[in-house]
Amino acid sequence: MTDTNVMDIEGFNLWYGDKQALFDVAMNVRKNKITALIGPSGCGKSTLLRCMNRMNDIVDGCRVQGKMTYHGQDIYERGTDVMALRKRIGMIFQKPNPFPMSVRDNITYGPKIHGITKQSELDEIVERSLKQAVLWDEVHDRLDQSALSLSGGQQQRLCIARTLSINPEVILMDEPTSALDPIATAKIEDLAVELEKDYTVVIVTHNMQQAARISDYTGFMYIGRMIEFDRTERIFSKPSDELTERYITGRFG
Amino acid sequence: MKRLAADMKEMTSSITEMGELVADMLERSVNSLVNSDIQSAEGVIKDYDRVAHLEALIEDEALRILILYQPMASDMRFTATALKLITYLERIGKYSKNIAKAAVYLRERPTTYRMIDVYAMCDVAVEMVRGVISAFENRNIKDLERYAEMDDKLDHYRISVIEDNVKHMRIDPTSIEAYTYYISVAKYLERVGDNACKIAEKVIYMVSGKRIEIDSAVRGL
Ligand SMILES: Nc1ncnc2c1ncn2[C@@H]1O[C@H](COP(=O)(O)OP(=O)(O)O)[C@@H](O)[C@H]1O
Ligand SMILES: [Mg+2]
Repeated sequence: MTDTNVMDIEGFNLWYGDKQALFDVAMNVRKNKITALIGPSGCGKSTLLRCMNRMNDIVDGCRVQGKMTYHGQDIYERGTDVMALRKRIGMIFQKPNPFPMSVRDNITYGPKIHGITKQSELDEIVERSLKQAVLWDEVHDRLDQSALSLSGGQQQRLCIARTLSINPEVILMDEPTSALDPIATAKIEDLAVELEKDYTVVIVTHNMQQAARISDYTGFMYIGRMIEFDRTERIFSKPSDELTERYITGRFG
Repeated sequence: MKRLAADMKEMTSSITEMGELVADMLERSVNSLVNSDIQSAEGVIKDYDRVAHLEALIEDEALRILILYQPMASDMRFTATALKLITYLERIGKYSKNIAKAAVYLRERPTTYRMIDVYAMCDVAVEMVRGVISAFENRNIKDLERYAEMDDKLDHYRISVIEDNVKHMRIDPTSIEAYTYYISVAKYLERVGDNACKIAEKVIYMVSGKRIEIDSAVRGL
């Protein structure tokens, strides 16, 4: 059985000024699956992830070339509605970055921008998003408190809830647990697996065990190249490439 | 990771030690049977305790490696294989112990059965056990291709041991119990072959990442 691809990437190159950071990258993102990107720091994981919803647009001198499609549509084509794209493809960052406002307002911020004004509808979105992010039980009685009063792990789940509030299809996560303790990390991992039923997740992680635990597909990157992309079991039990083998067994450099 | 490499090297030598011990016990058990050598048989029975001890020791060590290093890829395959191997080796040790017990029993009950095929089975079984241990130690799986064939050989010998002993039972019904012991010994040796094949499969997986089944045409007889 082949899974449906949400995104297809092929022959993809990226330059920051005259420094090339991605070389001929190929991979795809399968629908309702978790795809992990691993590799040594500086290999281009975040760069590649940020390309998927055109977050690199804001970087001065950043230039791309090659194929990156979302449901068959080239996202770098002239005329792409970047706001609409980011509504469908949300992003979670390494450090939780809730807005300095109430828990409720963090969630309703996006829907309001997208034109939803009815209070009952907004209330529904708040409850649904927080429940999906497995945060509702912990915060339902303090929705009007500042989001900054939550713990780090709760803040990260709030950011996930905020992303979910505008009904994305794909959620990009860039090392979402690297600032969290093991218990908060486990909660985010459980959440990612839970989300997989309704969403498609791409996660960058420097924690190989995390990739092995939660992902269905894994890509190993090295100095801007996608060295190997395969099913996760395969990557962690019998990788095809010697470099992958050396990296995941810790025999690097 | 230098420490993981060192720990894996040590585990390789512990497993090799355990493997050589059980191969040796197997050989001695059949010799003690053929030569009615009680002392040697009792030695094998006692050595089984060492096998059980090594199994527990290596298992703890493998679990420690899993917890400490969470090994991946070839390291994971090595550790998983180690955990399986010791189970199979322990069983081979147990079969050798059972054969030694049979030797003790049969010494008091001499019969006219000549153990030619039992001896031949022992040769094959010992060769198989030594072969997989050396394949594991050297990560060289070239010689494991012949294992299905060797396993078939054991099956055939076992059938002939059964047939011979059934004949003897008819002629000499007063010793029926003794003859059933020879049949059991043949069964143990055939099981040793099965376990050696299992080890071979795991070692092939460890080295190549491929899961193959060493199939025997007459398996299960
Ligand atoms: N905004 C930027 N401007 C210039 N170079 C950058 C920028 N972001 C990342 N890089 C460079 O691109 C390469 C890949 O970085 P990055 O994608 O952050 O790697 P990773 O996430 O795998 O650690 C690095 O050499 C990094 O220095
Ligand atoms: Mg990064």
